[in-house]
Amino acid sequence: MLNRQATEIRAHMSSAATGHNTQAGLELDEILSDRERTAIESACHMSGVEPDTYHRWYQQKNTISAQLAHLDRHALLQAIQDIDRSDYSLVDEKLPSNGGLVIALPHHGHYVFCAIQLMEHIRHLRDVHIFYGDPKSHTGNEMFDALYRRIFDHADCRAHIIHSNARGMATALRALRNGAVVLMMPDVHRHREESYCVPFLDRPLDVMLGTAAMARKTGSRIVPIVSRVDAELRSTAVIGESIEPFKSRALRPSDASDYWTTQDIFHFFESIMGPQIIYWQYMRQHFMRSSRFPFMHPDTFDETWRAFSSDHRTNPQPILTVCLDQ
Amino acid sequence: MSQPPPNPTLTPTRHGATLPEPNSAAPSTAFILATTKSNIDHATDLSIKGMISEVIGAAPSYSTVPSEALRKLKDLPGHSAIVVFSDQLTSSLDAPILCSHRGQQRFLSVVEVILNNLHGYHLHIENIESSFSLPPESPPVSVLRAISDHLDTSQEIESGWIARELQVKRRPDNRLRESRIRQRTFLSAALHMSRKYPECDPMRFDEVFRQLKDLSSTLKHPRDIGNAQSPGN
Repeated sequence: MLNRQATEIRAHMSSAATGHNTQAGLELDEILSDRERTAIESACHMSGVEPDTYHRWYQQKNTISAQLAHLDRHALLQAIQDIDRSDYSLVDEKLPSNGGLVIALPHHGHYVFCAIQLMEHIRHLRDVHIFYGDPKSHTGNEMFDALYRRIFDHADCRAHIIHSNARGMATALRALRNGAVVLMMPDVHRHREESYCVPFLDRPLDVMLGTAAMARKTGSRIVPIVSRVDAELRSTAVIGESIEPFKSRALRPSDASDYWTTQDIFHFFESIMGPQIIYWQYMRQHFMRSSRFPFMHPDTFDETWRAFSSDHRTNPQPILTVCLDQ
Repeated sequence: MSQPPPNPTLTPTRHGATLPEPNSAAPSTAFILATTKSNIDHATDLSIKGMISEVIGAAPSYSTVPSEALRKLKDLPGHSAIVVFSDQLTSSLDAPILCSHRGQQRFLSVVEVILNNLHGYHLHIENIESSFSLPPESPPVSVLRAISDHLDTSQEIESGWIARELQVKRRPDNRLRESRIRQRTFLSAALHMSRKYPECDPMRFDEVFRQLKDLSSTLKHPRDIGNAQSPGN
């Protein structure tokens, strides 16, 4: 029965890649706002595909999630390998002989399967951890905890979860210093006021600098990896060149170093994701933004700073409160 | 001879609020309305017919921002009717006055005070089940109190109140959050620039960076924005 389900998944993959799925398109259309539809059209235009491709992708992900839920570990890994056809032995040359490694993986393509296969491969070589938001504060992440328990939760397995909290940060830093690999997904943030923005496909993208900071503090390199989707809606991991984090200097704050490192990570992401951006989980929100990244030039920097620093929206000073109670 | 009172004719709208048919003999009046579809349609219709001189709000498709509307006031006839969708005026530019009312702090707009005190407009505030008028040159705190009450009663319009989600922008904690986002955006742009143009003066950039850090650490709590009480009259 489990093999039959894996076969059904393969069959679904074939039909999803080629079939015109009007029903999925109609269902999706019902829940989208006008702005979201416009955002999807912009992304499809950038990707050079029709909106129907996005609808099929959307339906495929939902269907596969439901079908994988009932497979045992062996069948699950087989089904994943059917979809994600990457050769993860290519990562081996990136693993340092001394020290840890941070793998930066965006929420693009079949990133979950990419992460699972990376962990399954690397755990035979050294400790590997995946770092993501605590399900207590990040709704939806409990699915990943459940997936981990099905695949990796057994004795002597060197693959682990680290939840993103104060304790998790300390665990991740210690793991990297001990030569482990830590998978991080830097294209998300929780609080916008704590994030920085980088230019990404002509728009500002709010990101955290944690991936870069973690690498800098532990002397680890960063390898960016993107799950690239093919015409059959299967995927292959594209492994980027190792990134050496910028170091802090006496006159260079750590924010600057980490920002520049993060720029390099997203420059690689953009090069692979840009031509097929519809497969990025946060595509809709990103293309709904109408503002452009605020590029600056040294010639006008002082003037811009003066206007910005004197704007009361930048620095809301303590003011009187008018009491209206009688 | 005394001036006739405003709003001799009331036209019921779908959500119970009413938009008066302006009286050409009435004094200049600003009608404060909740943003509902029926009120928007009615105001737009009266504007097209020339019975309303201006619609003040934050939606460019059918309204004018307060600063622009006030600039155009001198071109309006001696007696004019204006509609103000006060519930749309939530930005830090349009709503700069921090008020405390019934245990809640929020920023309120100032255009109504300006119209009433500086330009001699009657204010006619339409709430869901009642209306309220203020004569010209009313105490500013009375105007603000009336606007505050208007926003509170608009909560009862339920799903028809289009400007409901905007009201969070009046909160001091939201203003603080937006301030921090602006600082981070500027810092990001400066960091991007400093790498693209490595020849630019690093000392100058470091000074700006230090000032931004100081800005960020100075304000840590919404109470830092409003920390003095001014009793109402």
